[in-house]
Amino acid sequence: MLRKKCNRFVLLLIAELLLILLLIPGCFRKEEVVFSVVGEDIGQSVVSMDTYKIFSSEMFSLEPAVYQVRVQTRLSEGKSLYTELKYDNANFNAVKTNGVTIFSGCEYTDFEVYVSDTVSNAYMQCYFYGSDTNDLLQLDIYKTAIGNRLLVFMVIIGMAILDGMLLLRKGILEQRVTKKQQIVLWTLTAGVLLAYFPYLTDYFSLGADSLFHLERVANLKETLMNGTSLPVRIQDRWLYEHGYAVSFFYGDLCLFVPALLMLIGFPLMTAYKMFVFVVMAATAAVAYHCFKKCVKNEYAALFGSMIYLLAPYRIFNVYSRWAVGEYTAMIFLPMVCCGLYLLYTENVESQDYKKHKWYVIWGLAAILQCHIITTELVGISILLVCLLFWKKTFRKQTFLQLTLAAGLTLLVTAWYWLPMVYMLGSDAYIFQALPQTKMQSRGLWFASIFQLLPNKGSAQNGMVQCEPVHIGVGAFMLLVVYPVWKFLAKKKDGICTFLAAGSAVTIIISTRYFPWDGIMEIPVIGYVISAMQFPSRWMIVATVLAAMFAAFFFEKVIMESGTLGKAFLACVAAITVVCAVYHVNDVAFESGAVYLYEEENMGTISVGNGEYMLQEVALSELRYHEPVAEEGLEWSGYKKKGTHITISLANTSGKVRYLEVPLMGYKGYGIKTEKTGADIPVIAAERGSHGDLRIEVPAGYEGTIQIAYEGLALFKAAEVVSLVTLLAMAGWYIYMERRKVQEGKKNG
Amino acid sequence: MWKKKPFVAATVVLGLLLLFLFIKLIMPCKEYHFEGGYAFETGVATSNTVIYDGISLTPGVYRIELAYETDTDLGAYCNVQDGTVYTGGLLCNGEHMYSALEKTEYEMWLYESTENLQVVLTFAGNGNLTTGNLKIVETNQLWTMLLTMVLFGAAVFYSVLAFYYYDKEHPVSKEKKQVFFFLAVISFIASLPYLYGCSYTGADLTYHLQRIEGVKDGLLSGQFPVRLEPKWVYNHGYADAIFYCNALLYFPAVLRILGFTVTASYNVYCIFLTIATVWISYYSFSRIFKNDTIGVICSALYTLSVFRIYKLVITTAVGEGSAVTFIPLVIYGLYRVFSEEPKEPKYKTAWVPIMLGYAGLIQTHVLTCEITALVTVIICLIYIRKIFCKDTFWELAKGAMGALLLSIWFLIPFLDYYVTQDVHIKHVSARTIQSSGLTLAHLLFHFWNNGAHTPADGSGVYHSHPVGIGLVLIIGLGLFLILWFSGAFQKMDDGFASFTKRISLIGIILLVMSLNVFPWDKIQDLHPVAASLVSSLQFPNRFLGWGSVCLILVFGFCLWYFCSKGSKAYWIMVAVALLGVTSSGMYLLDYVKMGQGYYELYNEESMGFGYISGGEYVIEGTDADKLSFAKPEVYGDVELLSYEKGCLQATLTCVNPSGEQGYVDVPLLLYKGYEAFCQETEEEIELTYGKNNVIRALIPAGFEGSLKIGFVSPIYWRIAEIISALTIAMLLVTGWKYRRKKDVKKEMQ
Repeated sequence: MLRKKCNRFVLLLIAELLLILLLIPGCFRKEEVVFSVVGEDIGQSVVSMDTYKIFSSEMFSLEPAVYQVRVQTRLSEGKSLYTELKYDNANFNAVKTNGVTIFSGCEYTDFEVYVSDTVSNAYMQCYFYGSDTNDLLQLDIYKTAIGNRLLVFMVIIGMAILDGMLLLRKGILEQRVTKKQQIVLWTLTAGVLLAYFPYLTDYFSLGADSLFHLERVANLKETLMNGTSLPVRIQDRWLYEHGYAVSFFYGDLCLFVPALLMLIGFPLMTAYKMFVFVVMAATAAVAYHCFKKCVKNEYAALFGSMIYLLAPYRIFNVYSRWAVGEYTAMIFLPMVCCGLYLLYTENVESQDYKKHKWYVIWGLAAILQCHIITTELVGISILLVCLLFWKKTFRKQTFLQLTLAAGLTLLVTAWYWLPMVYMLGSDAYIFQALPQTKMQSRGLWFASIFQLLPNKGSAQNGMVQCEPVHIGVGAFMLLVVYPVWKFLAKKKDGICTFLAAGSAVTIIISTRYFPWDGIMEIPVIGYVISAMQFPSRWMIVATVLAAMFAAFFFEKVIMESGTLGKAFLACVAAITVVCAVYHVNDVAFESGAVYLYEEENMGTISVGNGEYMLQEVALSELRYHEPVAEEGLEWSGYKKKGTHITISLANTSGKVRYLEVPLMGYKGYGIKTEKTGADIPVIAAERGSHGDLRIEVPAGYEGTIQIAYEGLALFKAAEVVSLVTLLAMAGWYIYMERRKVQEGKKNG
Repeated sequence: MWKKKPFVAATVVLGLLLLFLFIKLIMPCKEYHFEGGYAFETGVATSNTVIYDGISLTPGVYRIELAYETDTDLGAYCNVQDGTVYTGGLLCNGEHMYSALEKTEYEMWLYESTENLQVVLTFAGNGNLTTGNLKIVETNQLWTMLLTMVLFGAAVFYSVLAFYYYDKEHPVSKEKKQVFFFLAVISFIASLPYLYGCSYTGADLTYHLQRIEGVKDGLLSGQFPVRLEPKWVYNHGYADAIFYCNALLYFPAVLRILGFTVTASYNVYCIFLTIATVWISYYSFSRIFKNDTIGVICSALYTLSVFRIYKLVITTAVGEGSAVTFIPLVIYGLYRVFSEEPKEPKYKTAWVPIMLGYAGLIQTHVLTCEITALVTVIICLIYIRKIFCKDTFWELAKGAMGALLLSIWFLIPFLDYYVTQDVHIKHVSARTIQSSGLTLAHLLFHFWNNGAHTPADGSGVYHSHPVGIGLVLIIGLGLFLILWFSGAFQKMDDGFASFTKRISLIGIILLVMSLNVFPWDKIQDLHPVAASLVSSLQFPNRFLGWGSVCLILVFGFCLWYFCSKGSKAYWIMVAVALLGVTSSGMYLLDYVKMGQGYYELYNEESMGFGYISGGEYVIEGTDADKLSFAKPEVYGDVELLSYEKGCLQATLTCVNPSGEQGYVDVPLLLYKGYEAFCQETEEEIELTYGKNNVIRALIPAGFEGSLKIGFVSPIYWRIAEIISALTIAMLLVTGWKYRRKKDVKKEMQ
């Protein structure tokens, strides 16, 4: 019977493989033009107003597929063109697309149109703002193979889920998967779905930093597609294609997930929503694993991980603040806690002791590449822990492991932080010049910590529409009850006390009652502190400590208390779930629907305060523009793909002349020429107007040059260091595993 | 028992009360005449101008008849006011004025003697308006109303006392008392929205109130059963009752006739509907699970389900909300037919719930019945092998036939009109519904509030109406699927688990059908019939009704499974159900109280007579906006000598001296069933569609005489009514015999 089942499974796998093989050729299908129109042939004017005219093309039909609209324009200063694909009488959701605005100076734009059902009456509509049909050079619609790629991807994922479920069922029926494991699996799955609830829609909604992070994702994808720099340092499309050094200062580690999904062909919104699901799942899995490693009790770990996963502050970060850096960093926080706990509590003589540092290394490395401010908070917290438990810190083995952890973390992340530090020192950026605002008044009101039913929140001050910046009432109940339980049971429990106290302290310092303004006046410390922006950022530490405390306390209560204790835990669990349900419900109910498929629809300037722009740059002055040359310097054959420029220059002036190209003049750009020697164009030390990269062209030079972001030698060295460290760590791991196997064999 | 002191005392008090009320009822009603007149200045808008004041009246229900002349419709509003009576002592909303009418005719409820009642008028300033004499006519409705309340109170009191003494002699089990208590609590909680003395406004409230008033007016005009609502559409008569069965609305209509206000009648009806839902769902689920506690929990989940509250309380979709009451009977019947052993004697009654359920659905909401038929077909297809078993097929056939016979009185006129009349509903196939579908988040939403709009065109969950089923039912479904996945039901070889598995899949399919990803638009493209059927659904969320029932059955099964295993999970599930009911259903009810608008409607005239929602049942091409109270219009050389208009009838005396045919347009919408004949010669007069599809009587050349136009039900409608009546009688007799046989058997044992 079992054999039969196995055979069936193999047959299923073969069938799946065949299906995939059948679908794959479609991915390499050639593009075909389905509609093409040249400038003034766009069609008839349907609306003519003083400020704009609307033209509609003739009708054409579209079969289910992903199409790309490619628009070539020549719009002079002050003119713009809005174009979108429209249709009559199509089925609901048959077409998914947004319109795109093309500004003067931008000569080429493309955007996708996702068609899921035949549309027989489609047409292009163009709004000419100050422009006319002659400014539209060419508009083509291509049928692409993106749809086939998406199909293959989804089929693979679907099959993986199906196969996984079949294997799981087999494991359950054969009793290899225990009841406990099943409960953990299903509860975590339910928790992830609950936390993901607001995105169980066909749209999403925007939050505080949404456009900035969506731009980061979209432009990361664009940069990867252009292949202009790897690892990505300058993202291409930002700021009217001037490029933005966001990747230097804001790690892209996690954003590769949505960027890669976009590369496969998913629309921006879908890719982002899939990414959030991955984040939810990863948070649950990492938290559970880490807590289980510490507590050594599945249910306790499950309890703690659910408190963490459903914490109001975390959900608030995901859906209301869109604090992508912070919520991705939260995936890895339990790893750091787990590593430190194990290093400080496990027997230093045990064989596994040396392994504990890896939690700290990977956790810290990931956090650093997700969110710098969280790294700061974690760094300060670790420092305090080391000082608090200084006796254990300075045990030989512990100190060695901690030092190794710090060192390896720095080495493995050197590719990221070393260039960042260099860039910080070598140039002046807007965020360095931002006025240091007092942050005490941005702290929490005491009462807001007790908010039972968290809502979406829209205000940082006061209680009206108060943002749910707290650990959750369930976790809070545990913190309150713990001292009572401890007093009544007369129990001593160091870890619970430490975690509870840690969580309580971080909650307190998140409030407006802690003297942040006074601390900010202390030199150096004040500067570091001001980067936090809000005291409530400490809630991230409070949340993870509270969750870990919940896991430990759960285990204690289960082991040492009777029915009352269990009933209390059941209440806490129920309250946590009910509050989370309320929270995600309110988020969904209060969030307007946004259907964003095209990154082109967002524009390119959602940079927040423009923190990573050069100080001399004013955002309002930036525009799409062509190279600007001084008199006597002629240019031709200008081509720009992201931050990669090819241009032919002829300096006939007899003097050195300068050319300004539409790239922000960050350090690290390089020039390649056909010629060699001293009389070749170089990057000028001084930047051009609004911070543009300036090329110094020697007298009499004539030739074609290529400008691209190359980085500095220091960056390359840092990348090599990180790569070598990673390889060495992988090698070490393989060596240790093999040694373990050999020892196992030896010992029979 | 009858000799017990409380019984005797109560009977004496009741007797005295009844005597008093009967005396009051047989006493002649008074009329009060006031002479006077008031001319309003054209172009000057006034508010609450006192026309008559200082009117002395004793408590009672009165009809206000104020003579007036105006040349505009809806330009003025007549009402009564009295600052001296206590709040709620005078109930009246007044009436609009129309150019084609000569006097107002609206009712007011006065619960306290007054010396200073005033008749007031609000005038918009358009056109001319002069008022004349006032007549206030006392009706005996105060006493009929009181009589009804006394009889109801007495019935409740006697029942309680009877139970008390019965319990003393033959102790009723604690479980049964608990069940009764909990069902009463559920009924009370679910009825809360109807205990505030107002009617919550929903999109369909006025429409359904018009339906109730239509039945009342129809009954008062002598129609039974009511086919055309005579006063609806400004006395033009509307064929709503033909297409939208009003069987249950006779109850509030009778309350209206007995003197209760519009709001009171509606609220009492909804309370009874709620109580019926509680008991029917309890009956069905407790029988399915053979466990009273699970029956009570399922009843609570069902009665306080998000879908039912949304339909009945928030959108006031009375038809769909009423239909919800009968769905559990159908699922119980299907459960019995497909999971019970056909050889057992009790199997022969499996068709009864199907029959009752289907009959209830047909006679409350045809669309829900369509969905029920779809679900039944799916279940039958799943159990196709069983269908070919003689006993099973016979039970299903009996159920279907029984439902058809019980409903034939409605179905024959319905089909007759649907086939022969070109009504507007047949022209709505272009309306698409997929864009009104839901997202997955709607289905899982738990803390609903009343919201602001029905999802449409991608509006999503943002401020959406509570269009969902609640998280608790999804938890139940998830748990069931996990148990199934984990092989927990492998050792259960009875039909119950198998039935529930199928129902869970059907539930999932129904939920998917309510989503905006379900290809409704594509289905509509397939065929005109499909387009028409899909279009008539209007909203995919209608599938949530059956979806809720399926998922409640699945939830109940999980409870039953854990209960039978003696697992602690049973109590967790009970807690989840309790938490779900309180934090979702009751939360929503609380929010409705806070966020929903409301009306306090007392007399029907205040609603107007024109609201027909989408005008689905007017003849295609009728411009309902142009219809108002009107007088007949003559064409050609026809001279109208006299005209009298009644409910769905008119009598005209006219002369056509010319040698050519003339015609008269009478303000009645022409539907099949209207007849006209000359009263003198009994010669039939031809009727045809006139201006805006009103009745046009073709007056032959040289005609002179009286013409009577009236609505007469075709004979085959009458036959259908008799068949239904006979079926009811037969069922009652059979049921009574079956019961007696069972009792005798019990006694013998």
